[in-house]
Amino acid sequence: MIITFISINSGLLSGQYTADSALSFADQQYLRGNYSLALKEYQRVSFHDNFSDAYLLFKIGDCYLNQGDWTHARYYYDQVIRITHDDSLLVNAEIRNISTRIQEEAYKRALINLYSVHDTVYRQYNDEINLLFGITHFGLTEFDTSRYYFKKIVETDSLACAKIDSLFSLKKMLYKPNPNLAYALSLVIPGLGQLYAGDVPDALNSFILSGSLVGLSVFVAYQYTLLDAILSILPWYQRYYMGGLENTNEIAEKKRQERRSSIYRATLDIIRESKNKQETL
Amino acid sequence: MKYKYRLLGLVFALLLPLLSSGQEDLISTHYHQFDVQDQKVSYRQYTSTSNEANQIFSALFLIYKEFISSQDVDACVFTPSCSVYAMESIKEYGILIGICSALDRLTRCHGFAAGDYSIHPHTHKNYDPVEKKD
Repeated sequence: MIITFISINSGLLSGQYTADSALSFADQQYLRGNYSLALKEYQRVSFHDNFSDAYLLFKIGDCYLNQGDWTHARYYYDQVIRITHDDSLLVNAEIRNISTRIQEEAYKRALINLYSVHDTVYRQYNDEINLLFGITHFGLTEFDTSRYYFKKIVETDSLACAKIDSLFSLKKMLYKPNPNLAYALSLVIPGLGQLYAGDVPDALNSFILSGSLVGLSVFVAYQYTLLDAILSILPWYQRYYMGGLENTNEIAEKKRQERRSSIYRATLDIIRESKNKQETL
Repeated sequence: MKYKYRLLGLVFALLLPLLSSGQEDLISTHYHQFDVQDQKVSYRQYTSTSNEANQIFSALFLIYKEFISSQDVDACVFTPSCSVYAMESIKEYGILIGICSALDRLTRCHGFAAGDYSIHPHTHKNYDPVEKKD
C-alpha cells in the first residue's frame, strides 16, 4: 500500500506523464497483483495516447482475467488475435481465450475456438492445445476422445500412456452410479437408490421416514377407515417419497461427478509427472 | 510519435514471457475443473443458545432440518424457508412472539402468496425475511 501510494504521488508530483512511465507503473502493479489499479493505468494509456498496441490490449485482458471477468478478458484477447503479428502474443491470447471458455463450462464454444486455432499456435504449442482438447472433451463426457488427446501429450512416455489407458478403462468409475438406475430403484423401495449410490445414512433416513408413514397409514386404516388413512397420511407420504426420489438423482449424479473428477485429476498428475521427468532428462 | 509506441510495444512484447511467468500453468488452472462443490447448507447459524428453552428449539430445528426436511420436496414458497424463518424469529423476538410470527408465516405459505412479495434473485421465491428490531 505504502509503496503504491508513494509511486502514485511521485508520479503526480514530478508532473511528468509519459506513456512508458505509465506502462512501467502498470506493469509493476500487475506483477504485485494489484490488477484493478494496473487495469486503470493500462486503460489510461490506451485512452490518452490512442494506443492500441496488441501488448497493451493483452495486458488489459490479463487484468480482467485475473479479476475473474472472463467476458471482458475475452473481448481484449479477441482484439489481440485480430491485430497482432507476434506469435507469442497470439498463442497466449488464443490459449487464454479458450481457457476461459472451459472455466465457464462452455465446452462446445471452447471446442469451436480450438478448431479455429491458428496453425502457428497449434504447431508451436501442441501440448497446450492437446491438453485443452482433452479437458474440453472430458467436459463433454466424450471420454475416449479425451483420452486420445491426453495421451498425445505424453506419447513419448509409454508408461504414462499405459497409466492413462488403465485410468480410462475404469468404466465403472466413469459411468457409475447411473442416476436413472438409482431413481428407478428408489421408485421401487424408498432409499434403495441412495444405497446403490453409496449414501447409506441418506438411504436409511429415506427408508425409515417413508416406512414410518406407510406404517402410520396402515395403523390409521385399521383403527379408522381407509379413506381416513388416504386423506391424512397420503399427502405426507407423497411429499417424502418424491423428495427421496429427487435426492436419489442428485446423490447419484454427485457421486458420479466425484469419481470422474478423481480420474481427471489423476490423469493431469500423470501428465505433469511425465513432463517433469522429460524436463529433468 | 506512433513509431515510438510501436517500438515500446515491441520491447514489452519481448519482455512478455518474463511478465507472464507468474501466471499459473494450464494444468494448475484447470486442475479443479471437475471438482464437485459441496452444496450442503449448515443451519447452525440460525440456532440460538441464549437460554435452555431456545436451546431445545434449536435442537428440534436441527433434527427437523437434518432428518425430515432433507427428505422433503422443495415445497415452501418463501425465502427464507418457514423453518428458518421460525428460528430467526425466535432468535430475534424470543419464544412467544417468535412462535406466533412463525405460525403467521405458515398460514401465508401457499400457492396464492405470489404477488404480495418481491422475488428473491437467487431462489426465485417470495422474499419474506424476519424484520429486525430497530
